[in-house]
Amino acid sequence: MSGYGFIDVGEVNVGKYRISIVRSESSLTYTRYYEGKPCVSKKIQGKPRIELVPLYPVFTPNIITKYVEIEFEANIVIPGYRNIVSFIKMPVDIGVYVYDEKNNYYLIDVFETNTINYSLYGSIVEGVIARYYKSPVYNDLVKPSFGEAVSKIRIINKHEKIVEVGRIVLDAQIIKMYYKPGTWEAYTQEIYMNILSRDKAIITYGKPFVENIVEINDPEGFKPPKLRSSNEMIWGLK
Amino acid sequence: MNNITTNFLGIDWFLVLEVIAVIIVGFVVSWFIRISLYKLLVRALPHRLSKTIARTVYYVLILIVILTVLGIIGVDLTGVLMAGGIIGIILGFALQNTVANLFSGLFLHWEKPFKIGDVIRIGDVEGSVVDISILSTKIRGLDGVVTRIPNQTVFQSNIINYSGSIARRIDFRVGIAYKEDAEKAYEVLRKVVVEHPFVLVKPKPEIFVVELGSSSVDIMVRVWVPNTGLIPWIVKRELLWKLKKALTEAGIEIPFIQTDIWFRAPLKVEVVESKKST
Repeated sequence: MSGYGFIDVGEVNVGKYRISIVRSESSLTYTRYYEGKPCVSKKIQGKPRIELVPLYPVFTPNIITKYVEIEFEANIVIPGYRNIVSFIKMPVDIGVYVYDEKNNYYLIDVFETNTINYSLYGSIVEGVIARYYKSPVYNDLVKPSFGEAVSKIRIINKHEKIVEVGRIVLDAQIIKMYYKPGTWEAYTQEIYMNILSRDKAIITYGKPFVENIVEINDPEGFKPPKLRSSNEMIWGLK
Repeated sequence: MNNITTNFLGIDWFLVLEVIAVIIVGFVVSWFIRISLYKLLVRALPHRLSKTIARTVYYVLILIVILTVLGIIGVDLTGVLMAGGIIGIILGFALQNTVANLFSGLFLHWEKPFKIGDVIRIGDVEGSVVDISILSTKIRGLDGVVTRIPNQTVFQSNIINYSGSIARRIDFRVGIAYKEDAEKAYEVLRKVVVEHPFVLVKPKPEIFVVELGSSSVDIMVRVWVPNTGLIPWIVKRELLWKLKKALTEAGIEIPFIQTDIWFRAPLKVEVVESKKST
């Protein structure tokens, strides 16, 4: 099998890595190889199950931010009081969950699928560090490639004037990730960018826009906050 | 009748009542001031410092209550006050530095030039702040050694706070030989820089000739990195070597310092041939 979802004993190639799962009577050994050499190896007691999932791209090399900045290859110009729907791509990290008999899960490994870049969104005093990615803007739904997730973006210009949008900043804690089992297709939910002025936009998160997809379990520290369901953008609009 | 009431059993009960009242009221008021002061201070100062100040004020008030009670009973306080004055002068001299440190600590808490966890440099001590107490600041260096610096020294020193911003710029200066193509060197250096995951895409890395040196063309490589934990230090450590390696692999010479020596008078060279060579 090659794709997201539960994997059994054996070997599977995931991008530049090879994953091996060996089961014994009392345990399971998970090993990730790079260029033939083991780089991660874990022995898990009991009879666990292993799941490969697409994760928000903020885990590698280590967690330094929860924001993802997607810069559009071409800026989008929206007249006042209009809205448009577009599709963009964002990178994903790949996570490996282990589940015990009681369905408790634990993240045992995360690795990157793309070149990792970070950027400073905003100023060095008030800004944030964000995982950076440049994406084309599509008018129609596209099939995500390995290592990418597709997001549906609805940009709503609630401002009377024309606004030019060059990027979107997403909060990995609020965004949800979905996958189509047995494939490398990953998706987020529909994302709304509500432009209030040329200096401010509110990003809110809606529902999934593709059928037959499975929602991932949120890793520790990335469960959605109870009191906050949006994030603000005050740079990147003009 | 009144005399009997107040001097029953030879005790001045009115005085006793007065003393008890002063003690109770004194302690209650002192306790109330201690709690109120703590609640007021804790809004601006750390918990431990607020507690210490409130407690000190409380003990001073209790001392005043005790002295008042002794005065009511009729104890001559002249000696106590004189002794107190002398002790005060002695303590004043002895605790001069301590008091200076204490006030410096208070000013540092108000000004907040750094907080626990920040990477700072004070004088020649550099590291992460592990404790800011009323008298001193403790810094753990990258080698794990903890240095205690009196707050007076901290307050009077230049403090460099490396954790004061989200991102930090790191500069590398690389010299290449005059015969080399600087633009080719730019490309080689740029490739190394953009491949590092912690070099920020924005602000963009800058690579340019900064000086035509005596032995080399000096190229400045400026990159911005996230100012989180030890990332700036890690990038500095990794990139410098990678830049050198990349230039060497591309066949670009990094020259040594060269000195041309000019002789005022023509130099006479005498060649002596040894017998062995003939």
